[in-house]
Amino acid sequence: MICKLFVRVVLAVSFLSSVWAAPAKKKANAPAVPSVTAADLNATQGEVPKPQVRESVSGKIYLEAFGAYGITYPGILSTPTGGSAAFNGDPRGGLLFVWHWGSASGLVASGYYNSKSTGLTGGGTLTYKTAYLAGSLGFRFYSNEHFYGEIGGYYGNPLGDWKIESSIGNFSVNSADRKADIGLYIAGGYLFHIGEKLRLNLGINLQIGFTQVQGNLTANNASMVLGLGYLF
Amino acid sequence: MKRIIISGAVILFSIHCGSNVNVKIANDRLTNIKKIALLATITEKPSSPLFPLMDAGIFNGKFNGITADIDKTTQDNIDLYRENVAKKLESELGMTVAYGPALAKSKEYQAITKEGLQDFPVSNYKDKFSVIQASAEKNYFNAEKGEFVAYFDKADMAKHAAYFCEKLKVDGIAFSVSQMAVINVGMFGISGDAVLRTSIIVYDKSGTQVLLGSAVTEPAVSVSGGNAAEFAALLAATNQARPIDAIFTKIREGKAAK
Repeated sequence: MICKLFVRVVLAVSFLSSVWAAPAKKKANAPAVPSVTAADLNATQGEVPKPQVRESVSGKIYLEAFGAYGITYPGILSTPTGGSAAFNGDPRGGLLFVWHWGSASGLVASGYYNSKSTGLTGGGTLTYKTAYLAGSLGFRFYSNEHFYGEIGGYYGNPLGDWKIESSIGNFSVNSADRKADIGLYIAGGYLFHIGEKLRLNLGINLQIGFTQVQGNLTANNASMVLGLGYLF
Repeated sequence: MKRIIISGAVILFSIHCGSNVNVKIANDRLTNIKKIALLATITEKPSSPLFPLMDAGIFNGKFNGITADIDKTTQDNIDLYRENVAKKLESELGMTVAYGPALAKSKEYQAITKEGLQDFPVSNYKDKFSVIQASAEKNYFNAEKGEFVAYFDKADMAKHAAYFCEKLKVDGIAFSVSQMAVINVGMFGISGDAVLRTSIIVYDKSGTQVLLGSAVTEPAVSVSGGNAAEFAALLAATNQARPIDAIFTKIREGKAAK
């Protein structure tokens, strides 16, 4: 009797638990998706984007004031004495002008003041210093509205004698030794757009000198460029 | 821009590895979808490389000059892109596919418009190039900068899926997104290599992504950048059918990632 009663209770409990469990199991297999309205979706989507049509730079002029500071190349230039030479961090500053003849290309001209110095090491250190008033002419190409690459040539006219600083004193080299600095340059950079017309330029410029401006040294310089310009 | 660089790198990497098809599926859920709505067939703006700066700049100068031609060729083909995808969903997965003008004219779809669901015209994503959508479709998805693959892959689609499935009386929703991409440029930007990538994304009614398939046409086509006729063959619907075939072949052969 007790056994039968026990079996019935077990069966009843088993049946009830299966009835209660069934909806829960069904719910687990097919997660209930709350009803969604158009208003719900609209609330999550944000505003309708405004058309982004950008004006082409084609035919426009860009004017920039820039400053640059050289990156030293230690030991890449050989010297007749067997020592090493390095062009030091040379400040440069001036104005740059771009005429865009296409949507991704332009003619670049610049004029700038460029201080140059080189340190010769070999049994002592000599630092040669001078300055140039220089200009460059090149081509600029944009890979998008921010990134650009540039290639061209430059000419630097010496402004004074080479000044030499050494441990035994400072002196000047005869002005007959002054030579123009002529070479090629390649550059690249990124233009940050500040509003529609203003641009902040962050770039790198590498000058490859052809003329031996001091002794047998050519003035190869890499510099970081920072500029602020306006697109007219 | 970060996305452009990353997606470019992914395409380059996948081509380099000899694998141009990536498919991820939730198979059990995909087979549960009997009726599906192909809600949008879209082409993103073409992409082109940013580096090397000089080479890319010269190439892009030519490429920018044929934007209108590229847009027109894409527009001429995009309805056929949709047909390609719809037919594959029907023939390969046995789904009943609602799409295009027939879907747009259905009273269920009309009801969505009447409810005031905000649409986002793809013309608003235009800059140099356009985002283009197949005829009779509306875009209900606010993809930032018109980057729809990224949007459909990353966005929380649960609410959208639930809404559209309930309103359109379907088990799932699908999207097809294509993009022509110049994957590299040669010296001085004289030429470049271009591919057409197509992605198919499917969500079930619970908002689970059950299919993400992406493939590019191979081999890449050499283009000079300034000649619109060179892109006509690349953008042709018959060419777009090739990556779609590749995606469904991978599914059929059971080689899709879970």
